[in-house]
Amino acid sequence: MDIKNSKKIRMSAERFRRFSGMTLVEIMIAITVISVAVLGAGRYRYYTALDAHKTDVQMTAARVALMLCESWRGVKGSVSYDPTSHLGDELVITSDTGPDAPDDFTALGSYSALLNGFKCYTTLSWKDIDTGLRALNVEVAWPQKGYDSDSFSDADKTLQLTVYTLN
Amino acid sequence: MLKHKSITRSGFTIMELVVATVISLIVILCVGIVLAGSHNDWNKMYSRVYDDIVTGSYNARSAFDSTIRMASRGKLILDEDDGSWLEVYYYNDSSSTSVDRYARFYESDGDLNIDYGTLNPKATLSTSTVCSNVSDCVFKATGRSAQMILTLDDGTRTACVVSSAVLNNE
Repeated sequence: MDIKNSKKIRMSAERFRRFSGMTLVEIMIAITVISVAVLGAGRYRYYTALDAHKTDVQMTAARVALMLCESWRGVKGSVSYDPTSHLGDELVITSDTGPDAPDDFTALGSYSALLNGFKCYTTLSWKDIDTGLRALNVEVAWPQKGYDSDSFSDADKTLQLTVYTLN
Repeated sequence: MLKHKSITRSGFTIMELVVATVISLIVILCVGIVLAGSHNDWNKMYSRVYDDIVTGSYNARSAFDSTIRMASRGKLILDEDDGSWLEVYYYNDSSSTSVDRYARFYESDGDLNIDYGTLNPKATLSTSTVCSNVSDCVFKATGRSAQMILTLDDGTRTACVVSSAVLNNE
């Protein structure tokens, strides 16, 4: 009986020693796993917000390009077309620096367009394909990150639209 | 013997409990903050894509573009004072021998409306409301193209829609 009891006591003491806490390695592993999860979640949220912003500005830039294309086509691609004069205060178009016109196109002008607090840079150019057929090219460049940029040198994304018109 | 047993199985000390509770609280708070933040961000993202201003601006653009593009380039009438309305004319269908329909864009009580009707005699057939929350609406014309500059404002957000379309038909 005594021998049995003393064995029992020894066993529970052993158990107590064995489960008395966590080792440093265990804690380090736990911290690493948790920080990987937290960093992953943070990155995911950051890129979600960034991508939504990029989509937003790309859509705005594409709309400005389409708007200019259609307006210029409305005057049959006239070389005296001036986008700064005929639109209202909401879309402010001013002469500015812009991307280079494509090869063998003649530049009409470079402008910056400010819409809903977002600024993009555009260059209009044209080329006579045939007698009475003219190609109009609108190239838009814009900075993908941040609304606070105020310089063409920050523009890192471009888009081109070409339309044809009889003149 | 009994005394020894009660020492080895004494449970948690108050300090252990306090520390464990504090750690759990911190973890739960952190998770809660992250969840609330995600929920907020998701709501923002959703309203960026689907709120009234955005869907309204899509509707206005597509209605303007499609109506103007099917219109006849022969004639376009614009309010000469402040560009508050625009009227274009179009063929009803392929069997029409002359321009027999009109569409008139105007703003009324914060709505952008389009009246569709017959020309001879001039009578309105239907009126469709394209979008609400319009705070400002100006139409312009350049050569054979028409422009719409529309400012939408629902009290929390303002967006400006600028659209241009060429009158394509004979």
